[in-house]
Amino acid sequence: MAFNTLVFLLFFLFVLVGSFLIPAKWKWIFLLIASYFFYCYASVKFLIFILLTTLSSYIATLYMGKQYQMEKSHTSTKENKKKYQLKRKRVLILTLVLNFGILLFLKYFHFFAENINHLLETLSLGSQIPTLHLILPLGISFYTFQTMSYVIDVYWGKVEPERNLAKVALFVSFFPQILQGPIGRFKDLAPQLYAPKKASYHDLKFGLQLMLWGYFKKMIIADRAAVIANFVFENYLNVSGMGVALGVFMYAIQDYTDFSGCIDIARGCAQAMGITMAENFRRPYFSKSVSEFWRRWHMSLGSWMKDYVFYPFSLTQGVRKIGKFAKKHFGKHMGRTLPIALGNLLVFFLVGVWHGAQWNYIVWGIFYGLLIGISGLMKPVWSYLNQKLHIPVQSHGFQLFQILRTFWITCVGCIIFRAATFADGWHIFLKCFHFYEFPIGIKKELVSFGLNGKNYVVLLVGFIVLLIVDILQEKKSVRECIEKRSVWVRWGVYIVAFLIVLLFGMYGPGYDQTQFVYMQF
Amino acid sequence: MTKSQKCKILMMTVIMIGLVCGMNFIMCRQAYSSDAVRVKNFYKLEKNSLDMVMIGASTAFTDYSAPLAFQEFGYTSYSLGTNAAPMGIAKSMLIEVLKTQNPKVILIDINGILYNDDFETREGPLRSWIDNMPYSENKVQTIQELVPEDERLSYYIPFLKYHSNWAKFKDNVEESIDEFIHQDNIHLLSAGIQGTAQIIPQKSSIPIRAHTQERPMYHLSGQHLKELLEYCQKQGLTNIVFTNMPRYYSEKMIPERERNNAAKALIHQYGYECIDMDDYVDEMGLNPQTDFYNQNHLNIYGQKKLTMYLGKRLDEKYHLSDTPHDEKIIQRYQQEVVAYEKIYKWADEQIRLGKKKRYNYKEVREIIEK
Repeated sequence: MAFNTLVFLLFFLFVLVGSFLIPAKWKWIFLLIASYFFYCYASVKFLIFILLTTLSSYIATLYMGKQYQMEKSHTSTKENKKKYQLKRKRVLILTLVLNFGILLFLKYFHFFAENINHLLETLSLGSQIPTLHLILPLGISFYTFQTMSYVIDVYWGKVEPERNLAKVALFVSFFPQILQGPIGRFKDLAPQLYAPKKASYHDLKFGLQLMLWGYFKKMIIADRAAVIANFVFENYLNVSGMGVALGVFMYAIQDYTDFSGCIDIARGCAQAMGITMAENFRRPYFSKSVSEFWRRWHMSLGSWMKDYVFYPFSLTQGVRKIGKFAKKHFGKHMGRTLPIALGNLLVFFLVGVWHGAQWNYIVWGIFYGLLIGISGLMKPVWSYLNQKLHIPVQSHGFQLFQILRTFWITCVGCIIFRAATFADGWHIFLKCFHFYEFPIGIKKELVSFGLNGKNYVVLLVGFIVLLIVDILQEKKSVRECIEKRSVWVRWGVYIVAFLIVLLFGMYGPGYDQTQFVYMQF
Repeated sequence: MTKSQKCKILMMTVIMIGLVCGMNFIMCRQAYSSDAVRVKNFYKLEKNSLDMVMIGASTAFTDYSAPLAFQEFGYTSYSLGTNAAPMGIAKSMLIEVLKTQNPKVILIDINGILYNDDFETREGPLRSWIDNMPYSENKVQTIQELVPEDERLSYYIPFLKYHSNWAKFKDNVEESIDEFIHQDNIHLLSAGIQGTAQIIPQKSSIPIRAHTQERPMYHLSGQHLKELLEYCQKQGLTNIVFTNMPRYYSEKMIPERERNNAAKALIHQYGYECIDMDDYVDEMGLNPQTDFYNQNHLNIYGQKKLTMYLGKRLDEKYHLSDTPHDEKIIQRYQQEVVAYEKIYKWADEQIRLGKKKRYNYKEVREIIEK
């Protein structure tokens, strides 16, 4: 049930009306039923996996919560405390292994088997591992990460374990976020899900506005940009340098508007029902550095990685030793930034792996890990150069340069991420440098990408609207601004936006671009 | 939530629904707009006002003229046909006819049996009928029977399909206004006329009357004809007559003749009459050098000859003109006759001048209003 289908809209309308009509104290049960219906609509056979994750995390958190309480009780001796801690640790590891094991097996078994078989073949060893073409359960990467954050938080004693299994099930399966996130935290999301509170008029209005904006991004911009990007990435050999550069640019736009559009729809759905979900995008293409880009892009995954991978990793004895070693031999700066760089390398390797069982995702992750790590290590060099060359780092011009430079780097990332093979990616990358090569029949080439002139105009106008809104959003909330206007202006904006999506949106028979990019992860 | 907030929600909901309905009216327009006019106008006819209804594909309205039949024989009739209508649509059309009319004869053109399985499920011809019929149980059934499962949604909600026509938004608005203004169009029969004012002299032709050999029909169209016959039999319909409109045959078209023969045999098996107009080319006086605008369709001269022959035959056998009608209906048909004469004169002029002119409801209206 993709967000841009009629079935989803009908389903959401039913849930929305239901959530207003049902007594507030039963609302969470209604949401649980709706979430499971939503999940089962995709396929009932996937249910076993989400149930297993729910049940294992429920049992584990209850057990760990009990052990934590006993450990913290005044009567507990030091020896007992260690015992309770060990027990908690064992249960945590067991739960993590089980849940990440399911994810790894379903998502990566085929990849591992294929690569091992390739290696065995190269070494002329006869034996082969069977390659299973397993179907990935819907949203498994998202709900596994969300649930494991809850399990780890309980282990750390940051949150109390939930004693009602059905409530845990709702936290794991809450329907707006299960497809593509954002990856919610228990302490933020759960109290809202279980609270006996009805959505207000303000929530409803703002939620529906956000959904409409999400549909605008997805159906007006992303699905049109996808037509060009798909064509160029598949036929780059027959496309001019300008065409390839345009294709890469379009993929960068598609990736952002598709994913952030879906997140807006998901957050809008939740907000309309009175639930605020975590922010996942903060205009990432306005970032002045790659590390800032990752603080603004897929923020919920970034923050997950920071809390559950980066910090625990940085605090390990091995990394501390490396830091001390670097400080001793290469100075204070190296001693501070080298462990951070290593942490980032690990985090981005895992971010790459999280996206899927393909080498290009792994290389894409390492690409960002290395960039961020190196830029951190080289910071004094850049500062020195800026000073010596008298570069006005605070000027608008330099800031614009930084934004364009970061965008260009993310475009390189897009090539790695999207190209079918590394060889293809390399050729596309090289061809982008020939962006000044305009074909003689420029119109003919543009049309050959699969969009006609009028659709290019819609795409361009959509992109300009997006740019203006994002620029305004950097300063203040556009929705709050609209809210302050007279009713005629407000309603005019809503109606026009609704009509634009209704008319110019890409949907209905004949369009293949209805799948959301991040749904596959 | 306060009362005023509830009011706002209600108002916005009404506005949104209104916008969706309005957009639906404006955007759901097809290239074959004569089909739309023809189908929509059928529903504007007075209840039980027709003595004869012709169901079928394009030949139902290019080869037969209802105003001429009224002028010559005095019975009322209507050509409920859509371009390239597959055989499967005939049952759906028949059910729609029976909802509002009780004609003495329902003539079903079997042109659709010549379509292979791919043609039988082509989107355009299916939409020409389905998208223009009002919502009913029959519409749902038609969609379920004829449309592949994964494509059905956009037939239930045509806007899903037609919203991509936004590039023609201006034209669509103009057509919508036009339709709105002419919703009480008196030229019910003429409005749906479509054809070409042209003569295509047939160079090589073969006599077909003696060719009685049969060839199995295509799977889907054959199956749909059988289902139609079973439906007619089950409903006890005795006023059904099948027909095959005339063609000009070349060697290549022999298989078509043989499939027609198989269809006729099946129709006879079920006890229904099938008038094969190919067998009466001489009686009608159809001249292959002057009366066709292509191999499968008659021009205005051929239409006149066929209507004269078929009208007489049906009127004599079924006494179509015996039914008295309201003055209002008679007056309307008389106006239709005037309109028909104007169109005939115009087409005749075009042919004499050697101009090949296609005409649809828009040109027809201009000719009538001159």
